[in-house]
Amino acid sequence: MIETCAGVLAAPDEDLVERARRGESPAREELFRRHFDVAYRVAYRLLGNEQDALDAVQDGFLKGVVHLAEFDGRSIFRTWLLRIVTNAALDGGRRKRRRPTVPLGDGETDGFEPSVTDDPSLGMLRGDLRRKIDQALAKLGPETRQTFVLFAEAELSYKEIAECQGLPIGTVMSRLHYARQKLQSHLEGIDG
Amino acid sequence: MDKSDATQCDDLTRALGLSHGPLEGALAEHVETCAACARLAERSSRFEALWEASRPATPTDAFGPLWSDVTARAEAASRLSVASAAGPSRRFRHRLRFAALILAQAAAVLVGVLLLTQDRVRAHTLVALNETVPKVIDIEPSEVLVLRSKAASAQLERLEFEELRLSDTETVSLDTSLLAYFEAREGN
Repeated sequence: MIETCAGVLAAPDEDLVERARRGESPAREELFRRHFDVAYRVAYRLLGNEQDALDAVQDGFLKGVVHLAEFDGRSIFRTWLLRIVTNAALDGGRRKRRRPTVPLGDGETDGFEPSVTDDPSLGMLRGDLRRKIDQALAKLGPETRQTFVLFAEAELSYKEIAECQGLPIGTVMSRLHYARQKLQSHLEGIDG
Repeated sequence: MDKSDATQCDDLTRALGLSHGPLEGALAEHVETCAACARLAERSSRFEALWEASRPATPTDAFGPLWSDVTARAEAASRLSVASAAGPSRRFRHRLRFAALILAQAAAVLVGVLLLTQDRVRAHTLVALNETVPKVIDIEPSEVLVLRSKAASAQLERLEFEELRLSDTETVSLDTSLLAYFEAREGN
């Protein structure tokens, strides 16, 4: 069992996919575990709160597990899974509407932690910053928000986003440009 | 500003809109010499800093319970699909219901058509009777006929004096052509 786990941890996604299809539960679990973090962050950026993001990831992972046999390998597994999760997030968002539940406190108790790029000179409480970013994202349309989040949060390439959303690369690029301008404009006032 | 500077400004604007991270190479050098682009780059890097600072941290230990739930639901879905595979599939049941609906509609249409056809046959028969009356009735000059009116139809009785009995009975329609026929005979 230890050998199996060690092999699973070191294996690339493609191997894990094959092993998961053969019914190896540890391989399947590792496959989804290693993409849980990015899936959660993407869902969070799209939905604006922790609980909705976890619900979307759970729905997306369930669909991923059930339909794993249909993964044809034309895209990498990560892109395929993120597409499912973002669709689940959009579905969830449509059902509940975007409901930012951002506290105005310092965010220490709600899963919000400082990152290496966090600069105290920004002069703003993290909760406020989080709310501002969330409001700015909410001003984008759902499809454009998805494009930008897949780029900035999941760090997918233009080509991967194009595959993920079924768009031409040119559309992806124009959406990114538009989203970036819009977000920057909205956040102008918080220079600090 | 010469043309190459303007091109680099355009390139930088495009790059800032499409990239995420520090500028590199010629664009980084261009920012050193162009104040307008330096402001754009500063604005862009500030946005990226805000984005990074607001990056949500994944809740600790969230994966375990979530994965347990996912696998339990996946197994339940699998059992359900096996069970439904044993009986008629959902698609088959759906088709069956659809076929029953179509059959019911077809039957209703058939009954309607039959009723309509029957009415038309009756109507056609009446018309035929009406049309044949002048042809079958042949009245001789010495004959006595009794015409009994009855609503929309009439009974025509042909009396023979020798036996004083009814020898023939025709049921005919009271239409204008028949009356015209009698009038014509009387005129003769």
